[in-house]
Amino acid sequence: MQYTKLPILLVALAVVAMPMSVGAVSSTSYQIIPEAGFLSPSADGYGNADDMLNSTSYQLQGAIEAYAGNPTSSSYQEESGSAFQYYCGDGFLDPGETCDGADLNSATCASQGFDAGTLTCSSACAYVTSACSTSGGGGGGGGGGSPVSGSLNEPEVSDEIVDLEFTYTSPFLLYGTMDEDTEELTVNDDSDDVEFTDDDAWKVSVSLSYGLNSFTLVAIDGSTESDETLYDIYRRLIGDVNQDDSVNDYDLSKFVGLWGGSSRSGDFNEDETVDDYDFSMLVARWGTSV
Amino acid sequence: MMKQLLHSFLVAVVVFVPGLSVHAAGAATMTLDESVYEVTRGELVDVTVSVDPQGESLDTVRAVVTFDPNVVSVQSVRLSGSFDRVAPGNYYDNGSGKISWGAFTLDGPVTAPTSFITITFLGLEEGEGNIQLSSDSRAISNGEERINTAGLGEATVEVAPSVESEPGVAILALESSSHPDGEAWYSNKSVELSWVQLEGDSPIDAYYYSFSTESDAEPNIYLDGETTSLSLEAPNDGIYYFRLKGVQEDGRETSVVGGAVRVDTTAPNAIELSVQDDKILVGESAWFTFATTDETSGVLQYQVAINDSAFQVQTSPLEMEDLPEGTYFFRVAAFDRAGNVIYSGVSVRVYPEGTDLSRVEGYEESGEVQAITTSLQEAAGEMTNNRTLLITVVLGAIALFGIIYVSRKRKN
Repeated sequence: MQYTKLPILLVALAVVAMPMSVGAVSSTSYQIIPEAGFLSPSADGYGNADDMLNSTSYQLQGAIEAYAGNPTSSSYQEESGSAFQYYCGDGFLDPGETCDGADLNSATCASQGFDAGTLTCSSACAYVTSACSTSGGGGGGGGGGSPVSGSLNEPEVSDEIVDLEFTYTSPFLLYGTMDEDTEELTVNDDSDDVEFTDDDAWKVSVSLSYGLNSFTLVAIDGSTESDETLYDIYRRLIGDVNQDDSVNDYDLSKFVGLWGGSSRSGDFNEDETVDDYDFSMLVARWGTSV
Repeated sequence: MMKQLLHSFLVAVVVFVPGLSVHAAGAATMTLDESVYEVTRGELVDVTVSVDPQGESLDTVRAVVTFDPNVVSVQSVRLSGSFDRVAPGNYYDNGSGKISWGAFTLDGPVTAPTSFITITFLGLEEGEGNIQLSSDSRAISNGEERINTAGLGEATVEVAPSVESEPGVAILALESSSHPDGEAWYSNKSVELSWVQLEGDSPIDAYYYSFSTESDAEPNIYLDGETTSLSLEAPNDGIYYFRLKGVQEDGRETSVVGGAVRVDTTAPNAIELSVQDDKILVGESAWFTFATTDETSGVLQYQVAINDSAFQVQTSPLEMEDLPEGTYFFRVAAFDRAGNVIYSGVSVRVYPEGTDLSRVEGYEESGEVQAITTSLQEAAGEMTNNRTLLITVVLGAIALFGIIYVSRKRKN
């Protein structure tokens, strides 16, 4: 090599190296989309991922239970070639259904304005409250009392969710009781999504952000407004047992202390047992912070 | 009203007080079992990290160990003692010379001194290096830091040159048909070993072997000189070391030969496959999260299948795009390094575009997954920044060299 050509070589080297640095800046490693062949079934005659993605041949119908330990489950039924349909009684809470089978959409007797009992779902996908009951007389909980003429009692939030204090999920059903004279109930000054499930019961679905979520409830009867009812609920990051908004060794340590019990602080999947499945959920969020 | 106010106050206490808790230091110490380790180049040495609670009740510990990667390299890290389950986030890096290994126990707090992990190092280069427990190490009791960072151990490791075999002494060549690769994990506890004698002026009169979890155990179990194979059973999951030496009829001993046998017959811990939203519309993504741990060989990979498709390697969180309407059954399989597997499954329903899913105001499509991916992005960003910095330095050096060269050329 001629000595005088060295600078040209150096510049060429720099030009080659430059795209490497640009590429590095824009790299992302976490986002995964279906890869070629990802959806290709092992022995069904479909050759590639596109065929599978656009096919209606692989719909599953019926209630599917999560299972563990066996790669070939008999707990779900596959119907090849059928168009996708959803219907009442398929075990999924589909749009337009109040409930379906065992899926009550988090509702309870209390959320339907009763004090106790067991809520079930009818074959028409509607709530069955015949096994719910109301304790006689007194009218549910503190602050009750009969309405004072010209005034309106403030709405009550159900003890069931008052006692929760925190939750892990974003969708949340807020419900309770109210004065029978209530014509409108606002949640944070908005009454659009509030439903009256009975003469003295209300509910509204809300979306929770991480951290403290505060709601102000006001009952309205014509021009009369009740006092405000304040309700706070905290949404925790799954795995963040010590509530410092990150998941690390200190949460693991606290989690260990809850092992085998039913404390909601470690029961991330809310199956009333702190076990390996909750540990798995903590591990999946290891190093995460909000 | 009073009840609601009281509740608000209680929630505020519950929410904010734990956040104020300080990870205060305590009395627990973490030490190494020797102050000086001696190893011959090419051979293994075990370093045991122990924890002394010193009156604390510990449930979770993590040792962060630094070492000189030019002198020794980590071959394995295994739990030993009362902390019997591996924590997430464990790794060792022979490039930077760092180990971060955590463990915990579900059998009640540890209050007595115990060993914690055993690290097997390979002597790389003749010389001397340090092995040190870093102040990032942790000893935690119910979420509170209890380590005394002044009580962290350190040691020196001395690597001696390898010994040349003595002329006239036999060399043994050892192999395993059941566990041929000493670095690989197997789900088979039955170990088949065989060896041959090479060279040597005198026949072998007897062999002696050891088969234990100690990498430097003295071979002291007798075999007659005619034996050339052996079947052993690993009593439990773990890393075992087979060591063999021969004694010639002239009384001289061969060098000890050996190899590691890694056995893991236990599937990883249970996995919970979570889906961000089990009801989505056509055109939206389905997000899944999954993870678990494995006490012995560690989790190698996750594979995901949809309906009855083949399993494919994926990582968490997993985004699935472009699913046509229908119901999908997702399965995830976690494989450890020995091939043991555990499964979990969850279903998702994809509705036609325009279907009213009655989502509430403020619906977050991927609120939680966002938190996870943000953490991953930040980590990727750090790596990217380091790489960018390195490339910039290299480019700068090339340019500088070019300028110096041109200016010298002009002077001439």
